[in-house]
Amino acid sequence: MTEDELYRASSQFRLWNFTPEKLVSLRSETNAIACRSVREAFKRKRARDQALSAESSNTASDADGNGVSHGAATKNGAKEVKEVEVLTVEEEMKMVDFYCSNMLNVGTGEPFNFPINVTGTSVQLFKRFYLSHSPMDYHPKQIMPSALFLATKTEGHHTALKIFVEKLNQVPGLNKVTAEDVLAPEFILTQGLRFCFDVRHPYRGLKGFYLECRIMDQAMKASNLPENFSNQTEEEMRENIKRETKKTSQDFLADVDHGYGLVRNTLNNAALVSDAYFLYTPSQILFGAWYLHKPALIKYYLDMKLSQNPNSPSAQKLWDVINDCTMLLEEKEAQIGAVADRAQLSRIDKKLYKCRNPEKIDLVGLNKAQKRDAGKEGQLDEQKAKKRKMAREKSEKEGDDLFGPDLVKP
Amino acid sequence: MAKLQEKTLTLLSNNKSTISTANSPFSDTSNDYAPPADLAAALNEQEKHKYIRLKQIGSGTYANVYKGHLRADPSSLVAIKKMKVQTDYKEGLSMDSIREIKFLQELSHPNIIALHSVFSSKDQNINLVIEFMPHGDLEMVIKDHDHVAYGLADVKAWMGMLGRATWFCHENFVLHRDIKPSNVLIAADGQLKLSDFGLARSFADPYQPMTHLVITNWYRPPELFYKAKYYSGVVDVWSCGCVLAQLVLRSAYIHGETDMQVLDAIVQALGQPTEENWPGVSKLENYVMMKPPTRPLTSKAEMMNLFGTLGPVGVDLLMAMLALDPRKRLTSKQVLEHEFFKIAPRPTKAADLPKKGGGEKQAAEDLKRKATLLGEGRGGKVAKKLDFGAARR
Repeated sequence: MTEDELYRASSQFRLWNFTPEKLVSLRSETNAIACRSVREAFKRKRARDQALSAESSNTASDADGNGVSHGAATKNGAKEVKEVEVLTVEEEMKMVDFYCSNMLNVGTGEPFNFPINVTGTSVQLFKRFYLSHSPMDYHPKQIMPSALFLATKTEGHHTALKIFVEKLNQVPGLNKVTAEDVLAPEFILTQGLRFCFDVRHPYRGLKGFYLECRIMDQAMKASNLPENFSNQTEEEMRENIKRETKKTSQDFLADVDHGYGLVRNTLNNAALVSDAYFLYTPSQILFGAWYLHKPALIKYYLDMKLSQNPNSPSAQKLWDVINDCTMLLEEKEAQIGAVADRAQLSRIDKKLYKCRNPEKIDLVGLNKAQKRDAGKEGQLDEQKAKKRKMAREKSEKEGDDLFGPDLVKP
Repeated sequence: MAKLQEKTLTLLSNNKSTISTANSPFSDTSNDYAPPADLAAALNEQEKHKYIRLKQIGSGTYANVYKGHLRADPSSLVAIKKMKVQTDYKEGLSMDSIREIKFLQELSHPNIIALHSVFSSKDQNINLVIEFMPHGDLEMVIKDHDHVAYGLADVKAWMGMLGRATWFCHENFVLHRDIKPSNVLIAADGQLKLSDFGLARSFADPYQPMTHLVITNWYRPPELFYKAKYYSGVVDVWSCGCVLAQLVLRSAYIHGETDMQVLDAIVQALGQPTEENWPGVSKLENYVMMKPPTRPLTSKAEMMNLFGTLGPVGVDLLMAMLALDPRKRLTSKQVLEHEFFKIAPRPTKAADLPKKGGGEKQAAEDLKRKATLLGEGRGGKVAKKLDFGAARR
């Protein structure tokens, strides 16, 4: 059984691997569905508001001085008849990207200091979720803490929720998140992930390849290549490496170490935030990242390995894939490095604020309702219904405040 | 600050106005309605609709199990495991459920229980649709002395299947950490299926500590009793070794009430771990030297007395699976490559393996065979426990 066969059996490959075209169409489909449901939700909301204000103006005569606010509501209602302006796919992606970077900082920074597999998994779960969900329905701010918490569990790094929330609250912008806020979206999240929690990262390969380089380093210094490592003798290896990478046995390992740091950084950031996991296998991502930083080394290594096996898949095909992956990583790295277009992000955020699906803002309430109403749908008594409506309206008003102030700098 | 107050006030007054409209004829229609379904929710509905749930067939602390079938094909049976919501567990989806779902989603192998589907019911309970196992588990077979007889070829077939399942887990960087006969189920076609991944985890990176509190203690290797934090797939191999021994003895090989008693049972059965036979063992946190005289490593001759029916090669395998020093223990791959699986007798075909509840006729057959072959026992006392004649059909 080859590693390739094992990978093809994974849920990451079966469910979360796409051609670039498929990825584009999936996202635009999700966006189209969300746009429709947001517009419909607003239509219902308008109908509700109008009904309410019409009804309240009937009772206004014997009301206790609430007339002013009722008047305002009517005015708002009239204004809102204009169709709500929805996000485009690009805008959605920018938001999700932003929160991916944000989540990376939260997970790897103080006070969590999670290992990269936990944070990396949370970013991937988050990205997978937004392939079939729109930020207009579920604001990334609401999903982010939940994705991070879920990843601590799926990666066997479970932190008690109470402690998790305490730490979360130390992060600027997340100081108001409650345990309920973390748990409420968990179900929607797991459903959106189609109950698959495994994420395959390139980190094992990163360490494995480093060990391969150590073997080459040893071989260049002494004659002790392990069996089947290469068709080349130690002497040939020394010559070839020198010719192709300009490195001698003296500075080869230092160069590898230098590359290792750069590659790890790419894998821990650009690779996670980009679509690399949707388009490439972990080993392709690994080699793509190495090719970005140390092209000569990877060229030598892969050619050496490929020549060992005459039946290996077409080298050209492999190089094409690695090249594409490298370009993707390079582009994302440049984006991350550049000063974030704050103005654009805050414009999108403002737009999102206005087009959030009013029926899905109160995730805590929705979650409770769903659990409680199991089996007796539509049987809510009025008291409960009212309470829930109040809670919903309250959170609609609070909107962004729920998860702290405006966008924080990543 | 003033602005915030104003906002809060508006909020309050709005709430008040909501209350004042409480008796509105509109309040019913304007309050609650099901939000339109997401793509994911629709997919979930679709999955759920594929199956029909019948009667409950089992109940545990963490889940209830129901019999069910495909809506489109009533003859295609499944088991539906409905994870119970832990009311005292306030951490969302429990770790057990997450582990089980995570690993079953990834591991697709003829000897690992197949997860057909996962869906949620309205109350947000998670339902796992798994293979239906009408013939119970290996423990039932082992225990049913009166009705089930089996022999060396059968044991070899079962160990081969369990070995392949274990190897496949390790090949996928998964440690099962709870292998025992009751977690090895028997499918309708006689195949064994490793199940219950509630304690499983991915291999840790080097130097990343893991918990020693895994594996049911009768099947737990000595390094875990000594609180080793770094261990490998051979912890599962030890468990498999215990299963092999139990298949022969038809009762648990190493057992005890407390962890200490089980550890003592290991020492009595296999010998005292010392720096000589296990370099470095004394550095493990919980290492204890049993009181002298030190019990030496059990010799092959001693093992032959108890497990002679496996043959000398089989006993070699057993001893290598139950090596005290984890570095000397076979890996799951080495188990499969062992000579035992290459020599006669050939493993029984899955379909011909004895099953629990094989019907009256089968039970009668077994009884008959047992009666005629008891006298032929090659290993004296042991042969009564393990009926090797039954293998030669």
